[in-house]
Amino acid sequence: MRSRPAAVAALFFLATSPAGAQQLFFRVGGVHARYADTVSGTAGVLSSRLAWDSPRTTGTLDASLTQFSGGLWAAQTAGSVFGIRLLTPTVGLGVRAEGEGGYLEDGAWSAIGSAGPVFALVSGSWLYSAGLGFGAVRRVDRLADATVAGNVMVRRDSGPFSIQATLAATRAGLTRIADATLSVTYDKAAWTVSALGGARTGNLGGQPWYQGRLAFHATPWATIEAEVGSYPPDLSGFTDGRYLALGVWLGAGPRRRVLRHEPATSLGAEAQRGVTIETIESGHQRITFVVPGASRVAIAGEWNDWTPVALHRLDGARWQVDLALSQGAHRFSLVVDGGRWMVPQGVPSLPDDLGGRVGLLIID
Amino acid sequence: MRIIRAVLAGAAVLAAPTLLAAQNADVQARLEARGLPAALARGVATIAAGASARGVPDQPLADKAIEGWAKRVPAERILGAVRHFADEMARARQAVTAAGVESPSGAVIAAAAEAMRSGMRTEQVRSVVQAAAAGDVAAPGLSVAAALKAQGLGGEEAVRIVVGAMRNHESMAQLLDLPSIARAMHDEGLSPGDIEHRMLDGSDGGDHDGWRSGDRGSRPSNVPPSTGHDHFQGRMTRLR
Repeated sequence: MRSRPAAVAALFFLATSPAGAQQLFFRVGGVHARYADTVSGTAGVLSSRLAWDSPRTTGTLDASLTQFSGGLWAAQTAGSVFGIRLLTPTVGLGVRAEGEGGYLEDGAWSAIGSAGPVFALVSGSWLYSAGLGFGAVRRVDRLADATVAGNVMVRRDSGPFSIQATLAATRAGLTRIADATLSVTYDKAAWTVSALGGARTGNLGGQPWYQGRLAFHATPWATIEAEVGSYPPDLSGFTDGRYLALGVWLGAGPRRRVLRHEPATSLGAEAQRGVTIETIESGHQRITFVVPGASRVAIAGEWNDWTPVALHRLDGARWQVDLALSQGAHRFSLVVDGGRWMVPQGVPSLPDDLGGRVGLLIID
Repeated sequence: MRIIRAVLAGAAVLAAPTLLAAQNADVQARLEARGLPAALARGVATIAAGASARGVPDQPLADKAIEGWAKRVPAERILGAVRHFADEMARARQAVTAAGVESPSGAVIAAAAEAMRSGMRTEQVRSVVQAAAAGDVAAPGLSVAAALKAQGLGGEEAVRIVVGAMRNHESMAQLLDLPSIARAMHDEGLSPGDIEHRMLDGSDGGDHDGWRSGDRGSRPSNVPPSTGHDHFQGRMTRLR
């Protein structure tokens, strides 16, 4: 029987290690947990995280195995996939699917999963999103229910600070809950400090919860973290609890640079840039520029021997063109009102040796 | 054998002007086809032929002349810009060959020249080229470094970010996405130093643990689940 934890760990890590993951992290740590005010335990925890990241999609897959000092072990896994498509430079529509499962050595297990649409809107440095999730839960008491959930979120990224507020309502069988959370993250130099508070109404506990995390990024591949907090009971039948955890994350492979930026968040940055580039099919891009005060706009670049091609006006200051550009950096300029060559604000530009500047249109 | 070598060397010497003249004619024809006056096209072609003899690609010079003509820059200034660009590419070629690339492609030389024009130093260009495991990554890597520098990052920071991405074996798409990411961070108000730190160090992979969407509680993933005392059968500490 002692081989079971190792077998489960091997199964988890093999199953969650498909080729192509862009980031792979392992965490080694310990946790002291006190559950529902009746039992407590101290355990070692081995976790893994695989992540995929592209401009419009992200995915993560977590797995962890816990061995309590008293001999009991537990395993859990969680995963999510999120993809978004721009409807306009400030509005996106996406799909999120997520799920998780937990297993205790004595055979108790639960699983929950959901999927649904996500709507995102960006205004300045604010991000607003709303989502629906439809799924199912299998509880530890072996009963299963369909779930319906909705949530709204508002977030602001300002320098090293990120502030996020979420309201979520969930129904699973006879259980109805509504959660409100507020989190703040400060990310500066080698330190990340996060704090979260939550409150609930409904028939699944009403105690507020809090969580704090301090992380020190010692090297590009190692982060030391300490966490303390509490959490409420969940729909799967596992209890609420409090915890104190210490651990070290070790990374391998390319890192996700902007982890706190979900793709929807990048909408905000794109809205503020002078250009938005969207791939409409392989090798073809739909490019939108923001050029205030122009009555005619054309684009010329090295790909067409600097022959101006007219853009069509979308609305106000936004001008659009479809081009077929290869992957790479392309030198270009806009021609405004038939004679003024310029590079739109927000686009990297270099001196052109001809007395002006030339923009770099980067196709990835 | 010695006679054969001498004949081949003689043939090469005799053929060189012919090849240069052919290239010269190609450049001139392309420029005239684009509508440049014959005299200007001839002048650019002559500069391009001289540059080719130094191992400098001629098509970027033709591109530069066409760009100038499209922008309605006077012919004299176009010739001056083309000449200057040829010199820049000659220096860039030296930097690239010093990085161990014996026969750099025209794209790499042109990208290196552009990077140097953005303010990158010779040794920084060398660092990027050396970090590029495959030759086809060197040119976009240099362009990305130039773009990052144009966005306000220091040359050292730009090079460290690009070299770091290359050493992480990031894909071409990820490499080319770096300026967009830097721009997004800049728009958030991060300083160049913070941008460099975040882009170089990345995240720890754990930042989102415990910060789920909140619709089914938020137990951190590194905290094991429990059903309370029923399932522990005395193997954990009772707190009653």
